[in-house]
Parts: sequence; C-alpha cells; structure tokens
Amino acid sequence: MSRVRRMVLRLWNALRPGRGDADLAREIAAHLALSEEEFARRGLPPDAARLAARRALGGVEQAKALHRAARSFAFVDNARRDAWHAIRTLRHSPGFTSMAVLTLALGIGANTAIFSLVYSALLRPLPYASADRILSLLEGADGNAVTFGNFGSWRERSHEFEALGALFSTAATLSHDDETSRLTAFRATADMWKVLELPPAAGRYYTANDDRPGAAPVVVLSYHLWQSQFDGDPNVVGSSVLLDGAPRLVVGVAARGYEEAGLSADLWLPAAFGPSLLAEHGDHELSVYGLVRRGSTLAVATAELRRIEGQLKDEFPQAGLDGVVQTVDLRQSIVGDSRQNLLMLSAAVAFVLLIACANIMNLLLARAAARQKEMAVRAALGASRGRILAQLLMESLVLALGGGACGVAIAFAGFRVFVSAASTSLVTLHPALNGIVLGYAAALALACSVLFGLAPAWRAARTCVQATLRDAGTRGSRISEAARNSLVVIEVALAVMLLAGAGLLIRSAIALDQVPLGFETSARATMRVALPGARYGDPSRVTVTFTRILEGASALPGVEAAALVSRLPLARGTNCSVVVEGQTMDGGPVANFRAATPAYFSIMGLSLRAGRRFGPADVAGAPLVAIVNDTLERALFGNTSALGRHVAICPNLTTGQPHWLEVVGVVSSMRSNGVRNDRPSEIFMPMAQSSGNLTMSLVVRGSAPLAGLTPAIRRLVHDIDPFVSVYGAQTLDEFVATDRMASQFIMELLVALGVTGLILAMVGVYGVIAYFVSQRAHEIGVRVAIGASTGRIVALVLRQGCGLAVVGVGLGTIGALAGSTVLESFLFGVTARDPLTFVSVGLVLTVVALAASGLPARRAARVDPVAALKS
Amino acid sequence: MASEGGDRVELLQGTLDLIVLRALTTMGPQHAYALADCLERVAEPSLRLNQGTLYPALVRLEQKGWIKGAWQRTAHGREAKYYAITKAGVLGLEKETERWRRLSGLVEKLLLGESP
Repeated sequence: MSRVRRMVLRLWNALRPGRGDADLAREIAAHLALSEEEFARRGLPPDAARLAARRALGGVEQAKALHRAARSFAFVDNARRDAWHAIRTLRHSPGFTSMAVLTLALGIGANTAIFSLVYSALLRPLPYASADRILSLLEGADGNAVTFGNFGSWRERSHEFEALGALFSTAATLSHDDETSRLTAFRATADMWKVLELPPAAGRYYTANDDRPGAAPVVVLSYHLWQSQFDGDPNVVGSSVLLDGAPRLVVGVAARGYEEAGLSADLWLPAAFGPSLLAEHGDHELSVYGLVRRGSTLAVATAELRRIEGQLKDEFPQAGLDGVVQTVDLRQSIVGDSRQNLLMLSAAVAFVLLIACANIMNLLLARAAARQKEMAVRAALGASRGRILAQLLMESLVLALGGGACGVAIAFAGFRVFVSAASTSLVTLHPALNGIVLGYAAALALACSVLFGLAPAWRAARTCVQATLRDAGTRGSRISEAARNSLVVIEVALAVMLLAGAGLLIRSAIALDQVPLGFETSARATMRVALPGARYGDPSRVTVTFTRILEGASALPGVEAAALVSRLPLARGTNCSVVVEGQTMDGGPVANFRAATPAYFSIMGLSLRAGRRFGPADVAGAPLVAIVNDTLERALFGNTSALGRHVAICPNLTTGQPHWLEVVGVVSSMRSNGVRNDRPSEIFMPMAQSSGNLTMSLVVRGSAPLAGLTPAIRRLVHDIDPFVSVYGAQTLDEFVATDRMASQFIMELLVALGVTGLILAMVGVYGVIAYFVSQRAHEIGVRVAIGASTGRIVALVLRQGCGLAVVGVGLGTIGALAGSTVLESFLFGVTARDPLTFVSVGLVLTVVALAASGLPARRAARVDPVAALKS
Repeated sequence: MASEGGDRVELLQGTLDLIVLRALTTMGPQHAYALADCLERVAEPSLRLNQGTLYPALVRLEQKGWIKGAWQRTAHGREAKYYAITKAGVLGLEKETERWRRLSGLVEKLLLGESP
C-alpha cells in the first residue's frame, strides 16, 4: 500500500517539476540556521559557525538533487527538460524543422492511412463468437459460388455442421415517407444468423418459420439503414414497410458488426427457397457459410461435403459439377482480392517512409557536424555521453512526434479519398482512425526517431572534446561524408524500386486501355429496370410490361434505338453449360447467358457473322430460338456452322426433357468478362421467350444527354407501374470505366507515392551535394586560383551528383528486378522486367539527380577564390 | 558520501529510513537538524553522514505516508519543519524492524558458521 502510494506521488511529482523545491530550500535554510546557532552556542565565532554548519550539511545542491531523485523520477525530469530544450533548439532552425516534420508527416501519414485499411481488412478480429468453426464454402476447382440445389443437398445430407447458411445479393425498392429508394439486400437463409452469430441491435432475426415459401413476409434492417432512414427509432420493429410494392413486417435490426466485418447490404430478407429453386443444380449464385459442429473438425466437415458433392456429380451429370468443394478462410472470403492490393500498397508506403527517414538522417548528420562545438562544450562542462545522447535522441523524438501528429492529420484527409473511391473494392470494410491505428502511428514515429536519430546522436555524443575545442575536429567529417553519400545512394535505390513498380502498373493501364472491348460504348446509356416480384408472378405480364417500357423509351426524343438485356457485358450473371442435341449430355462448354430484345445486337455494335438477329416473330409460343457468339460456335461445332442446330441451356434433369433452342444467328464475340479476360462464350435468347428475369438493363443509343434521359424514363415507367424502380443510370463509357477503376485507383496511389519518393530523393541529393560544395569551398577556391575554368568546377560538382545517382540507380534496378515479380499478377500486357520501364526510371532518376546538383554546382562556380582562400 | 576511513560504516540502502523512524518514535516529532544531531551523537564516531542525505530519506518516508511534516516554531522561536510518525509509520516500523532482525540474524548466523 505504502509502495503504491509512493509510486503515485513520485509520478505526480514528476509531472509537476520544481514544486517541492521552494519548501526544501526553506527547510534547508532553517536547518543551516539551527546548526549555525548551535555551533555559535558552542563558542565558534559567527563566520566559523556558518562554515561549520555548511560543512556538516554537505553540498546543498547535492542534497537538493538527491531529494529531487527521491521524490520524483529523475529520468522523467531529465526527459522533460530535454524535450523543452529540443523544442527550443528546433524552433531556432525553422527551415530544418519544417523540412523534417513535413517529410516525416508524408511518410507516417501514408503509412497510417494504409495501415487503417490493413487493420480493418486483415487484422481486426472477426466479431463472431465461434469464428474458428466457420467455413466459407465454394464449389468447383475454379472456386464458384454454390448452386441452390447443391446447397439444399448439403444441408439435407451433412451431419458435421451445426448450421449451413446461404445468402445472395439482390436489390429491393423501399417506399418510405413518399420516397422510393433502391436498396441492396441479402437474401439469406435463417440459419445464416446461427452461423454468423451476433446479437441483433433491436428486435429479433427471422427464423426458419419465416424462411419458407408462403410465410408472412418479414425483413431485418441493417444497422446503417435503421440509423439513416429510420433515425434509429426502436419502434420501427413491429411496424410494416413497403418493399417492392408489398408490405413487410420489420422483425429486427441486424448487428452493426456485420457491416464492420464486410457484410454490408441495406436489408436482410428470408431466402425462402422453394422446391423449384432447390432443384436447380446448374446456377452458381450462393455464398455458403457453415458452422462446424462442436466435437468435429474443419477437415472432417470438409471431407463430408466433398463426399456429398461427389454423389451430386453422379446424380446430376448435366450440371457440370466436378465434385470439388473448396473451403476459404472466412476473412479471405470477405476481403477477397483486396489483400494483395493492400500488401502491395503497404510495401510502397514503407518505401516512402524509409526514404523520408534516410533524408532526415542526412539532415541530422549535417546538423551534428555543425553542432560539434556545442556538444564539445557540453561535454567539457560535465555532461555525460549518455546525457548528450539522450538529449539528441529527444530532439529526434520531438521531430518524429511532430511529424507523426501532422501525419495523422494527412491520414485523416487521405481517408476521405479512400471513402470517396469506395467503389474500388479496396474498401469493402469500414476503416476508422481508432486507438489501434493511432497507436500504430505513434509507434511508427517512435521507431522512426530511433531509425534516423540514433546514428547521428551516437556520432555527436562521441565527439572528441579536446580536438573539437581546439578546432581541429575535421577528421570526423570524412566518415560523415561517406555515411551521407551512402544514405543518398540508398534513397535513390529505394526511389528507383518504387518508381519501377509504379511504372510497370502505368504500362499495364495503358495496355489495358488499348484492348478492344468488342462493343461500342460512346453515346450509349444504360440503367436497370426492376419489376417488383410480388406483383409479377405471371411471366406474360413481365414480358408485356417490359415491352411497353421499351416501346416508350424508343419513342423518347433523342433516342435512336433502345433494347433490354438481362445482363450487360462485364456484369455478373448466370453462366450455364450448353449442350447440343444428339450429342453427349455431360457438361458442355460454359457460356454467359443473356436474354435480350432484338435491337441489343445493333446497339452494342456486334456484327452478325451468320444467320439473323432476333425478330418480332420470336415470341412466347413461337419456336424457341437462340443466338450464339463465334466463340461458342467454335467450342460446340468446331469449324462447322451452328445455324439450324439445336442446343439447350442449363439442362436440368429434374424438369424432364430439356428445352431445345434452334440457333438462328451467330454474332461476334466481346470481352464480356472484363478487359483482362479472353472473350467468353455467350448465348442469347429473346426476352419474350425467356421471361424469368424481373430485372433488366435498358440500353439506349442516341444523342439525349443522360441528365435529361433518366427523368424522362422514370416518368414513363412510373406511368406504366409506379412500383417499378429505375436505378443505376450511367453512360456505357462510365459503366466500362468502373471495371478498370480498381486497378486505376491503386495505380494512381502508387504513382503519387512514387513521385513523393522521387521528390524526397531529389531533396536528399541536393542536400548532400550542397554540403559537398560548402565543405570543398576552400579546395574549389584553390582550383579556381590556379586556373580551373568555371566549366571544370561545375563538372566536378555534377560528377559527384551523377556518381551517387548512377550507383543508386544500379542498386535500385537490381532490387527492382528481384522484387518486381511480386507485381506479376497485377500486370497486363507487360512483363515484370519490362526493359522500357526500367531504363526510363533509371534515366528519370539520373536526370533528377543532375538537376538537384545543378544549384550547388552554380554556387560552386561562383566561389570567389580570394574569399575562399582567406577563410 | 563515500566514507574515507576504514572504520566508518556505510549505511545499507533503507537502514537510514529505519533509523529515522525509530528516532521519531522514541523522541517524538523532530526537525531534520535535530534528527541529524541525534544520529551523530549516538553513532559518533563510527557513522558520519552528510546531514543533507537525511532529506531523501525524509521525503521517501513522507511519500509512503509513514511520517508527516509540518512547519512549527522551535523553542527559540525559529521556524522548522517537524516530522512526526503516523499510525501507518508505527506499523511500518514494526514490519521493517522485524525484517531487519531477520536479515541481521541471518547474516550473523552465516558469519558465525563460516568462521572456524
């Protein structure tokens, strides 16, 4: 108890330095007075008595120091005084200080911003109580989503799982307060709440009883929707909302943790899989998560699913199953590709920070050389080496903390950029400047202060007192020069590596830009049109409504042509195996399936290779027809024509005989799966013969600007059915750009970081060369005096800068060549060792180094030999 | 602080605190000079301490809550800070004395055991 009390008081005193000093001085004065009186009483004369009293007490200052050490903590006291001293010293050299703080702020800011993403995506523990028993499951060797039917079979036949939940993304229209808004939604089975278990924020989650076809419709709101649309009102639970034109009972609000863990949709709806969906074994749509039973293991559970998948492969040979079930780490399944991107960005920001540290270390080394005298005087006055070291390290720490604080501000600003670029898939999670991120920034600042401060402080503390005070202390500057030169070489090398990476990604982006998509995008606009399922149970009604909308849109002023398609190129959708009549029914080639209206092909600029396009006669009840692209034609028929042959899409054994479609046309192929991928097989059906899609994309060609077109189409649709929603209006150019945006955003970040590194390296080269010139002023003076021309002097300085750059570029190129293979998966149309990139980066760095040496070279050329020799 | 003569005793860490506590119990509240004077008289000539070294001991004890200082007037009308032992201090003294006895007993025993 007494120990704790003392510790607290010491700490308290350490924070209030000097508080006890006055009292102690008074006490010592009283002590001396009493002592002196006693000596005088014993007969000593006044002067002798005073002396004797002092002698008996011992050193007053020593006593005070001991008292101070006992009542507080000496090191805290020292640190505090060093900190004030450092702040005063740094204030005296504002140029150096602001340079160092700014440099560090850039480095620490970039690192903190990226770390906040890394933390939320990769490090933050998942909120689920039994996260170690949760499996994310995929089908097939290439890691597909799971089919409805297979999920149903897994659920029925497996015993190793406590629960298996499935969900897929969809959309819904909410009519609330006279406003309709288009929301994202998960359709999730009730078991999903058991697998990913978090207590609801309000109300309850829906149960298996709610999650069956025909059950009373219910909905669970997401936390953010509850907050933003319903003001967090708890009374919304138990009330009814209008979703897709039909009322639904709000039973609860989902935990906020789902959004933080990456599962962010506005609404959760029961999946309510009916028998027809559960008989569908070919359409891979579901994300499936399993909670492994207590007492079982992940391996046993996975093996069981593989066994079941093997049975399914035999039972449904036409579903194209390969009997493989893959498990993915839960975090990986949510974070996906961002992991690689984040690691690459982390490496890049680490490079920038290292360059920044090298720069500051350089500045500090120069400063240490300039402050040799000061340190020697301190040492001569009795400062120990440790104290000088501590004091100089404190200067570094103050710099680093200043840089760190500014860095956090920069990170905060950078955050806005990340969030505004949220569509880039880099931020599927919710990053935040929380305590851990701030702690990381502080730790980084601390580490930096040691990294750049220790060596210069160590050198300064070892200053030879006598030699320096005699002003003969020039021996050390050679070592210091070598150290500074190597630092600049390292800086240049790091900048080369950084820029080489950025350069390779730029080249990839250019290559990607030049890839022909195979379809036209300019002067074309698109938007999604969704019919509310509750009102469109009858397929013919779907066709009629869509046809009316299409006719209305085609007649709008400024519209040349309009078409509907179930899925735009580059969009996700159904992929099905296609089989040919009369051939084996076992898994044909997989093709993208699209339902489209006749004008779609001409609007997208697809050329007709053979046969015809869809026409007005291809309606429900007429013979079923299909159009294939030339990729699928080749895959199915080799060099023979597809025209007149009969094919079936997603043949499903449970529905009996497949529907055979006659191929009536062959069209050119396009890059429907993104510019990075080859042209996939595609098969089209007329919309009128394939009315299963309640959501279609309207594609319009014409001169009407999007801003005017969208409200016109909304009005038109509203007149046909006010519950139909129109959303996601974009020009086709924009739509295509989003596909490239993710890599573009990362590339822009890398280029920004590369340029930052380049500027820092340039500053580094400048600093060293300027120092070189100032140190050699005398030598240059001599050279000028004995007749060296200005050109020769400039060449001397430039050679110095160029030498450093060439060594740095050489080392950096070697490092970049060794490291660039990690970028391979990000590159397109360029190899990881692209000579053009490497040569240009080397040239850029050399030119920049020369430019940075230019200013000091000019100064060297102006050295006045008389002044230089006199000094 | 370093003792010069061979026959001088250097105080073990913490023993000064014990001595001060003990002196305050027997003599009642005292100021630092009186304590120093008393110690010197008792111990002379084997222990000579700089009177100034008393102050760290006093602040340590005060921070532990074992003694409490207050400014008062001496009999001669001078001002001085008088330290008095507290209840916690009495308990602390008992504990520390016991500890010291155990320690010195142990050292004694070891020394006896080692001499032939």
